[in-house]
Amino acid sequence: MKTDHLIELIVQDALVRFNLNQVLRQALVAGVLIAGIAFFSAVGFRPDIDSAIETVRFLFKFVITIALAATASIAMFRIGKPGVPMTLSAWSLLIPLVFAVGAAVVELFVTPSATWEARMVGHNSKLCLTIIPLLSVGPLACLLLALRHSAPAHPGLAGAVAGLVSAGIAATFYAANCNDDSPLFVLLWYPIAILAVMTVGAMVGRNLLRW
Amino acid sequence: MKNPSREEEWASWMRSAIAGDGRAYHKLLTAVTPHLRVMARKRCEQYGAPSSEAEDVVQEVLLAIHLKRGTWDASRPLGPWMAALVRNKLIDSLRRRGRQASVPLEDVIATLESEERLDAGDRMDVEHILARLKDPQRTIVKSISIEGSSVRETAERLKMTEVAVRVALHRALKALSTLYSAQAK
Repeated sequence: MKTDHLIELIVQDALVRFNLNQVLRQALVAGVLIAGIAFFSAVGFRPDIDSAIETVRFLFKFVITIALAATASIAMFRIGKPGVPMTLSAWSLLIPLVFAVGAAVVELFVTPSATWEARMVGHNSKLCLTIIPLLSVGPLACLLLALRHSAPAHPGLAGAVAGLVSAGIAATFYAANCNDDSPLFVLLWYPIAILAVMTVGAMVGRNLLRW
Repeated sequence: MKNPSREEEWASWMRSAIAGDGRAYHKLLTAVTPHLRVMARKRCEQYGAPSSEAEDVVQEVLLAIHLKRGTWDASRPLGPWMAALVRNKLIDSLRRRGRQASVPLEDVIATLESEERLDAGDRMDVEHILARLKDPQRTIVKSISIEGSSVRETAERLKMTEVAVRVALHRALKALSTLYSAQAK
């Protein structure tokens, strides 16, 4: 086939169109819905949610996880578009980490050192390490499928960012169930679960997001 | 891009193309192709690859521009998008062909801006790639590309609906893109 012929062919296909932003937005909404349905049908709020909601520690967990979901989403909307600079959104991924570290430092100041270990180890680390990855599966699948329409320079990296978004969504739901509210617990266990999801995203993305 | 009038022109064609204007799309692709060819030939010559392989690379990049055009944000300039996409695809394509591939982005930008163009030689057919498409995709591709029929004429001749022809055509383009990737592995 001559190149001119190929151009004729492509032009005839011009009516089929899509918008990457729109596809990603739909995937994000679908992912949140799937994770939400899974959470409310299988996990649910903690029993003392009414009193928990009045404590700063409980609420600050959401500041961290929502910051993660939000900054990672911004990076995800940019990473699949050739020529769009990534530096700023890559740095902004540190915001949730800064929040978590800052909260942990404050915690060390306001609590006696004898309680630090108990606060850090918590009661629910196994649940944290299973529920966050499990709730991430739905959103990750939606986001990776949507990202197939994109054109990332590094498919593995794009998959990792999708993993980060999914883990952020999953951690936000899970935080409403977990009764370990200490920032020390959050800083130790949440990142392990999040990294696991990120790794899966990177590995799947490396193959699935090649174009 | 340092050639603002060209970029403005290409961007306006691209906007019209996305809005459904086939003629603008044709103009854009026809204008870009000679520049792509300069880049592909230069790289292939560097590695002693035949020029038919360079034309494969050109077609692969054209398909990538087409299939990934939804990743261009119409509110952003077209130049950086085009240069980054072309560069990534070029590296990917050359790497799969076993050529060590480093393509500086500046080179891509410079070539898109330059007046240097290359037209295809006469014996540039790459029939082999077409032969590997399945029917009805192959018949549709031949009818539209080589015989120059429209989608409607092709649909009437094959007793298919226009929508079915369009869907098959879109699948064929995706399949071609995959075939290019597979043959160079």
